[in-house]
Amino acid sequence: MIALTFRFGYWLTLLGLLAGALFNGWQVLSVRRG
Amino acid sequence: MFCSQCGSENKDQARFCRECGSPLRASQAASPSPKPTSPRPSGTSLGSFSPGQIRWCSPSLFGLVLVGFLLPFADLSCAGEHVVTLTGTNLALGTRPAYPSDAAGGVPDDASSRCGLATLAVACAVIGLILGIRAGGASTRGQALCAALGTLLLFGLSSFWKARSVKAVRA
Repeated sequence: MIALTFRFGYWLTLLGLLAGALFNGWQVLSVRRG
Repeated sequence: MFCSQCGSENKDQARFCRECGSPLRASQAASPSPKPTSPRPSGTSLGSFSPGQIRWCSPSLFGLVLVGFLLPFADLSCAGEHVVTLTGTNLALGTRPAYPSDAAGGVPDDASSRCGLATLAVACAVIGLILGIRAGGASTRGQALCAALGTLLLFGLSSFWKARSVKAVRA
């Protein structure tokens, strides 16, 4: 049985993208609200 | 009243500037409003960080994501035994380190083949980084979309591998 266990790089990548989505989403909403 | 730090206009009762977060003194209400000497960049400010510092947050995050793809990303194991450690680029490009000789026979060739979800996630990070370096209103929306799509792709990658349990007979 082949299995893949995610390590540090995966979680760093996931958190970075999640933070990027939240940060840029907040920026877009802030500019829209003026 | 106008902020003495960035020159943006705020409500008279505001205690902090809505743009740069600097404290607004009551005395500023009576003083003549200073005009900003240079145009402010688009976007918002966060606390004591200047708009210039905020502007590099997003490219830094995308850069961090790309570094993450170069680090040990996943352990490939066969029948509970560790076979090889893959980086994100191994998954994205389909390259793989050599299997140990005793495990090679038990691991199917496609076990570490190129994963489209990882490839697209890398592409999202690269596009987001490029958009972040070329700042602008539209690029902020693009960066948000790239980051959100990349997050979904990585969640999809995790689900894909949980569903993909390949039974192999060890040689």
